[in-house]
Amino acid sequence: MVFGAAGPVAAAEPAKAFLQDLADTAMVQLADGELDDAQRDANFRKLFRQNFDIKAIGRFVLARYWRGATESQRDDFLQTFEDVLVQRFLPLFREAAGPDLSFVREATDSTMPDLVIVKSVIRAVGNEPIRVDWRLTQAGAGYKILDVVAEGVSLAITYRQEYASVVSQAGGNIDVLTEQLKSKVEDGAFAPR
Amino acid sequence: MNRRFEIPMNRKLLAAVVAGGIVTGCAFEPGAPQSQSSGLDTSRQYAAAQSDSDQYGSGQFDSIRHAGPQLAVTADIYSDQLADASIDEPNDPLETFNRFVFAINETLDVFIFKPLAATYRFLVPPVVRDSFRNFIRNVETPVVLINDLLQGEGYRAEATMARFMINTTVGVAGFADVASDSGWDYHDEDFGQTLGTWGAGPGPYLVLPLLGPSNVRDGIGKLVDKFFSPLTYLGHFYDEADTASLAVTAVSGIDFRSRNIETLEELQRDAVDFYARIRSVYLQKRVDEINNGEIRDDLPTPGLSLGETEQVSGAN
Repeated sequence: MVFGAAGPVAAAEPAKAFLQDLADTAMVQLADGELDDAQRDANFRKLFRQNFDIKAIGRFVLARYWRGATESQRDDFLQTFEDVLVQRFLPLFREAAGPDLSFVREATDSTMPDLVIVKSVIRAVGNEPIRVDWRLTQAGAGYKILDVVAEGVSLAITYRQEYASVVSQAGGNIDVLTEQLKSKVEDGAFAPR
Repeated sequence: MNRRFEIPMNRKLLAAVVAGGIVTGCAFEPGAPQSQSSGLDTSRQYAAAQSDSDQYGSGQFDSIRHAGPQLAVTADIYSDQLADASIDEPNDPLETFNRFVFAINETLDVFIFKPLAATYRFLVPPVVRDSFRNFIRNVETPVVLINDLLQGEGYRAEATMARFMINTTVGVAGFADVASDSGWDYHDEDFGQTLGTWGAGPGPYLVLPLLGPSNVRDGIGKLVDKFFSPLTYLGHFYDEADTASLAVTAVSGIDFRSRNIETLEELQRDAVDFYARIRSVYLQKRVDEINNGEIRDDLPTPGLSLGETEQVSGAN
């Protein structure tokens, strides 16, 4: 059943409709077999920057270390972090079908009125279905994604706790973390096999 | 009487007993405090008061206006500490020791367990592997059932009972998971989760030899579950039960490992600090399991939650 953007279903669950649109757009722009890698990469980054609140996520991930960092350190980290996520998630779209993702319903959080949650299920081939929650906030006419939680494990919280360990061991200097991430990106460490 | 409990218990149980030994003197922390949201509200009030002071300009907000930067800093610290301190202060006082055990487990995994699991997966057809897992799950039903009941989960206990009845009879001693087709899906429960639902916090993070990530509460849980498990008592009836019980444990472990080969590879490849990553993922997963998949409100979120100093202090 497909309703137009102005249909009653879309109006009732706007964030879910937004994500569905995004997923469809991603399929078209990323999963096309005809695309060359450079184009796919550029498309991914564009979609990513438009639809994820990268600055908020990066700030959250660095936590207390964001405060002490200079503007250029922060930008450096954000850029590298984007590279990490591109390398990590873009290959998922390389297969013709992309991930099998179905959005279930929208929900809210009683303590965070600005937050919208969209529940979805990913079915990877031959495996159990995975519960994925998308956490978004309204931004202009659309939404920005703030976090993705798979089976109770939040991407933002996991990166935050892991990177906090690295930065604290480096005495609070986030450049050490940024350098490590950069060298991993160069090694292609984040790309799924 | 001693011999029966010796072999199956000595390896796995020893690890749990070590964990139990560390427990003495460690108090449980209370579960996630409700005061979190009040901490956030208070810091928001401070921020609001600061901006209001310009509009109102009355003596009402004078003290706050004068406090200015100090208040912003205080609000940061206050909000950082109060709400979900656990996500920034990993409760890992034994970190050095844990990292050591973690490294040993990793080495054992690289040389022994992962190759074993990969071979197992390669040689044994999925149907057979699934039937082993189904049988083991069926045998361990009392563990799940007792914990369902202890948590007051009537529907889940019913599902567990239904699964046991259907799978033992129609499913031929549990080898075939027929119950899933009838809509009774498997769910896991353990005493660590039960303690969690009763309000016990996880306590210090622990890496157990062989068993991997755990914590004080869950380590105790594993011990208690031994008493719920039929395999422990099999020794009363059969002499060969020790070997059988050990074999079941071994197959169960290898099977579990074989189902997680790619998942763990991904987690590892991605990580700049694999130990910290596993710790984070494990603790989040446990919270999810205790809540049976319900994500709690007030989960720290980028842009909306704490550590967002720009919002509170107004500084760049």
